[in-house]
Amino acid sequence: MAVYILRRLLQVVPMLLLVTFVVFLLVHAAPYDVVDSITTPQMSDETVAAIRERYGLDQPLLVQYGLWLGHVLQGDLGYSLASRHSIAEELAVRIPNTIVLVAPAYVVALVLAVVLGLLAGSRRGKLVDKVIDGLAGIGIATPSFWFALLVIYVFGYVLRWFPIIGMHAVGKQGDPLDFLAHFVMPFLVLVVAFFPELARYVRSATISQLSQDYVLVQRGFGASGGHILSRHVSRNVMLPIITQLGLALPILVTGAIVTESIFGWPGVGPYFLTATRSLDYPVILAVLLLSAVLVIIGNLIADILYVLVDPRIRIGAGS
Amino acid sequence: MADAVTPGPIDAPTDLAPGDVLLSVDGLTVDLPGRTGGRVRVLEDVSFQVPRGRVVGIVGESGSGKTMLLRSLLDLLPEGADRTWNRVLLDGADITSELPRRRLPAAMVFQDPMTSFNPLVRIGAHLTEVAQRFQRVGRRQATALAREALAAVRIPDPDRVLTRYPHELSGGMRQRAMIAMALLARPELLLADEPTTALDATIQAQILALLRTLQAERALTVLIVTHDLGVVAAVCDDVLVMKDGRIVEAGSVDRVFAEPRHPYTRTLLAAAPAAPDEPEPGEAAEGGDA
Amino acid sequence: MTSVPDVAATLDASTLVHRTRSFRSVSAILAIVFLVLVALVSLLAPLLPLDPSSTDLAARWQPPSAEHWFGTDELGRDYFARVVYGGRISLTVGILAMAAATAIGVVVGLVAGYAGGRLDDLLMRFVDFLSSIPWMVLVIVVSVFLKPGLWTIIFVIGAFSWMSTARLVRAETLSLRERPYVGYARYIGVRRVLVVGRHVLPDAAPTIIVAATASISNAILTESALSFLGLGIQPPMASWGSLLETAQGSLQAAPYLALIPGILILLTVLSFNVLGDALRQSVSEGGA
Repeated sequence: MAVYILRRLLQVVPMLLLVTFVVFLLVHAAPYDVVDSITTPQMSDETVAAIRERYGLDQPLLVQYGLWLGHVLQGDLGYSLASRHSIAEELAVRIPNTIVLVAPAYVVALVLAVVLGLLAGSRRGKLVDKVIDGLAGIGIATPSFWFALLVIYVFGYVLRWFPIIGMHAVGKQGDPLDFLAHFVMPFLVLVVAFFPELARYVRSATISQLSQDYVLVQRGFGASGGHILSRHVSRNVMLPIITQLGLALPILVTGAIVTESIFGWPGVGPYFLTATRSLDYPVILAVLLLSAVLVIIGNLIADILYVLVDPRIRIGAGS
Repeated sequence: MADAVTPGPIDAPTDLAPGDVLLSVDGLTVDLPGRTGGRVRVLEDVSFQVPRGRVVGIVGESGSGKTMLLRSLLDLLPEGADRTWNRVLLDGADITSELPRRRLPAAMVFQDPMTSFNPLVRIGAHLTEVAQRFQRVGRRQATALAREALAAVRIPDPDRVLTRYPHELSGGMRQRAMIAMALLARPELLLADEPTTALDATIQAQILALLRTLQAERALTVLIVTHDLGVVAAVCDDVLVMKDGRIVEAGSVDRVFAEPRHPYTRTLLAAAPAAPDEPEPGEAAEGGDA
Repeated sequence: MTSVPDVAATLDASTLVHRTRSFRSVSAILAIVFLVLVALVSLLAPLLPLDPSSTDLAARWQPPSAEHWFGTDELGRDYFARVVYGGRISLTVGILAMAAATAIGVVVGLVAGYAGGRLDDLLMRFVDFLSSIPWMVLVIVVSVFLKPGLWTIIFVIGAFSWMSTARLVRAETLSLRERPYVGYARYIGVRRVLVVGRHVLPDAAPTIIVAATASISNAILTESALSFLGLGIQPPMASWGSLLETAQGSLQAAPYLALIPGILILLTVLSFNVLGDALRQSVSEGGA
């Protein structure tokens, strides 16, 4: 078991190198870069060359990559070409903001999806199922940013219950009530965005479990429908979900780009979008790197969880 | 349809007093929704009696309705099924109107032990669940009962097996565990749906011997569904022959095998390959399958 | 269609048509009706008396009325016309991107599934690798390198959403490969390309069609998100997504500007999804 985990960990390293290199190439292949956007035709060639040198743009590709990778491993993600601030510092502020919005939304969506999915799956074809499945279907087809606009209109403009922009009102940092007021709408939008696919999945897993032999056997031994659902089927349905939680790791950082930008929520999203618009390649690269690394780590976690949690898989252990 | 023997009471060699009949079913008819709409009749006016303490085999080809018959008794029919009967007597008492609210004192052993258990739940948990439900005891006592049940089905080292997951046991062990689970429901009637079909030949013999032993030890009445006449010959006292949803012949195994009355029964007997020597009860190994 | 009768029932094109006729689903019929309607209006738009571009600053932000069915936008333009022409773009992007993604996915899936062995391994690793880069981020970054516009966005969506189709087609190919008639065809010496093209592909068609409906839904949603962020369709062209982006500015004054294109996106995507589900049902009812 430990050997398997170790092996998986080692496999991660070349994947990481490959992904980061590809990402580096991608951004580097830009037809023009920020240096071009801060030099003017009036500048002399020496000035331009000096600027290029300062940004390290005259070195061969692999050297640049190596230099950059070295910095990254030391926690230095470079500086934003536009704002000159340390990217790592900016992200250190923004990532928690994103997490504090996305994590609760995902958890709530998951819980709702499990409860409603089990309900729908166990009452297949009945009204409850049609309603839940129908809502999930509509949810999947709904563009989340459009739903955000609707929510803003109804709760922000018409009812005026919640403020529309940002994470807190000026001067009210740290005020929990103020935070909550700002939090509710984007939170709601995210829950609605995450819920439908999860619910569909739970529903179909439930239906498939209920057609298994062991459910018939349970009924044969007098188990009530509720008992079967709560003590047996839910367990079997939750297993793949839990292992897939690892795959949701990147969502914690890049899962709400559009929502954050609509609500002006100071997370990773708007930071990334601004950088893409101004071709601020260190920032773009840093965020891309971060999310690709999270995907790889998330996969790793999912694989390990799977091996740990499913009793049918015991690699290397004797029975 | 020419030579159909009127389905009726099993003609046993001796007259049966009503008190000797555990279960009597009259006029059972079951409809199922068909694949492409419409209804399919799987059981047609089935009537039979199960004498107390006997092992009764129900034999027939696939599609004869034998499994559905068993399932009707425990109300395990598929969604949309329609079940009607004229009369059901339990120990002479008419309980027709009490069904399906009331459960027959029966437990079922299912065909495929691998898929009959929840793969994510340990054997012990499966068993204690049943013990707690049927015997109204607490967790600790239920575990003790589970251990006893495993020992009763001749599983060595029951404590270890209690902690195992289903996939960690062999087929034969799993089936024994399933029988143990059935015992924990304190049934008077043990229903077995093709209990040995999914097992290897040598294990089959062991399981059948086990059933016979348990039946004697606990004065159980057993209903076995099978398509294998060899099983009937090996363990059954009486037999019901089914075809196309009807019982075409009923009687003691000796009589039916020696003097089959219905042409279908004769066909069945003729088609059976020559049976190897039956295993003697004493020869069955004591839970020795790995 | 098959050169040797197959013992196990296969779902060939004629069976699919037969099963399509026995559609019992009300929602599927509604979906088809809606899509046909939208398609017709989009196709015939140039022939209809619609003017999406003439501005009338005196009549800005008019709510829907008999004269302007969807009202007017921030420049006084007839919003119904804007939405119809926006729909043309959205649907065009959806269809073309879907076509590209499906084409790539089918080719990769067929090759990987049929060839097996190392080639299959290699291709699937590539698919996994590509799928491991977070999608939204990747699409945004790549679309930034290319000049934003219609063809860029079709390319970007098509180039990065073929992976799930490839996986589906590969799985289907793997199982179809074992069918007797495929073996017979190889045995009598039919070239592999022909075997795949004449025998495997038609029987994989239902799966491919189902994957295509999912693909088009995905393409429409992605295009609208990118256009909403300003990275997709650029003015003077408009798509439903870019209309939503403009509507954001006048949300308080004229909420219907945001409501309408969004509802259309929802209904279109929903219709494709419902259609795909219904098709998948009849596919699974066919075959052995």
